Amino acid sequence: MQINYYKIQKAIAEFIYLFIILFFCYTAVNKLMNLESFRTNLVKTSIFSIKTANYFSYLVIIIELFVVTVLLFFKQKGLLLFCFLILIFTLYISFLRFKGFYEVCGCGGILNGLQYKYHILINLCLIIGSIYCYLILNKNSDEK
Amino acid sequence: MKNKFLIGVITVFSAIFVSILILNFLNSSSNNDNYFERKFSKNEILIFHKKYEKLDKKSIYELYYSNTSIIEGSQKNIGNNKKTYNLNFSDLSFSNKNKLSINLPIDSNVLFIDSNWIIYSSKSKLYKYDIINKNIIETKIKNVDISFLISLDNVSNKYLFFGEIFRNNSYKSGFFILDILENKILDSKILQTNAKSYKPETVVEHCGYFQKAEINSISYTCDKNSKIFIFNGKGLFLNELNTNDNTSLPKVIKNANNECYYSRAGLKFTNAGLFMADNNIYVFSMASKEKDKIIIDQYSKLNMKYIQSFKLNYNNYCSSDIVNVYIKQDMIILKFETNYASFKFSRYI
Repeated sequence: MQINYYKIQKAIAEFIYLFIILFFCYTAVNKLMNLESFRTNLVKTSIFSIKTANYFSYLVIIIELFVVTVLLFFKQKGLLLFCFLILIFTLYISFLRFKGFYEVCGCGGILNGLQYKYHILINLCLIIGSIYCYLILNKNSDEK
Repeated sequence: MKNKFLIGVITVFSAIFVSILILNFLNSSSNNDNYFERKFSKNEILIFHKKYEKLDKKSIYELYYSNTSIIEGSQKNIGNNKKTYNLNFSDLSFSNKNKLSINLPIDSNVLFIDSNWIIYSSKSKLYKYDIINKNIIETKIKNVDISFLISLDNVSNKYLFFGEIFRNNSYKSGFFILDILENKILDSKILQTNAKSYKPETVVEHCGYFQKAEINSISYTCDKNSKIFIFNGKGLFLNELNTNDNTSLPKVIKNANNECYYSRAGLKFTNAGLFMADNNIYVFSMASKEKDKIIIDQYSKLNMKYIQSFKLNYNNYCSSDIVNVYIKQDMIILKFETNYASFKFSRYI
């Protein structure tokens, strides 16, 4: 019996794709439900004033929901956008750690309170996962 | 066209990724400016004695401070404006272990626990819960806002607390002696006197913990500035030690709800507790680049001057890993995130 590796790869890619959508939905809803806590976390970094944190908190949630929408309707563009956002976010928390402003994660939900090394590890998995997903789905569309 | 787009994407992603790598491999100097030059002694000051496991592996640490017992616990909302506290007790020898579950109001703030009493505040009132007889006594203490509290030597009704009181039309924040039986509050060390409450700011600036440092001595170690306040067994203020890291008060910021937090910019961690012996103060310092050794700085109790430092090797822990310090006669018990370890002071060996 010959194993169809491509089918397995595609199934894994589809699973990662669904996970990414659920992940961003989860973090966006959590931020919305605990908006004050999210804003306080932004203010505590010392990068944002109270006013800027208020605007920025809405902007982040809007961007997350926008990426979810793009992911739903334009899979590959959505995956690139997701990967770009996670890279920017990783750059942001790396800068916070570099300046000594990182305390614990304020992403919301189960991610709240995450130590830096675990946060970097999760972000790295998300980046690799989204690139893998993009490459597999891209291969599929090229073959078509 | 598609290739051009892909090359653009790869270039941007690579540039961000390289920036992330650079930021992660570079060490920022902004974190280190409370480190200081130390004179390290070659002698060992603490000798490892025994390791103890958590009382309950499932329990989440909460800082219910007690100077006579090891306390672990967790709390859970149970509805009807109540929450359950599940507590695990042990004496400092880890031989007498006990469990207790109590229901307290949802807004209750537990300040102190020992094997007989739980002191908690709720709706600006102070309560004393008798663990043995299971009854609650409402104290008559008014106009007081307590943040941290410790019992005074062998007196079950007297406590030393850090907080704020309202007296003679002004708010005083600092350290006070509380006598629940006599309904009295005496000043021990006032840090601030203001026309309006300054308590949230004072608590953030002087966040720390009480500890029984030796027989007839209580200390309050701030973990985000270099101050350590020393009191006698009756709660009277004796002296103030400014450790050599020379860390100033953390900057306080407020959110939209006027709640106070410390700003992470310029935030430095200082000291994690201490013990005293032979007219010396031994401070567990977090102001060090050594992240796999516990650093102990020795200061003279007589002139509060730095003498020397010691390195303690234990499980690659550093002082930042210390959750609490207990003193039991000749033994120093350190509480870490996942276990406890007892050490003998080298003079006693």
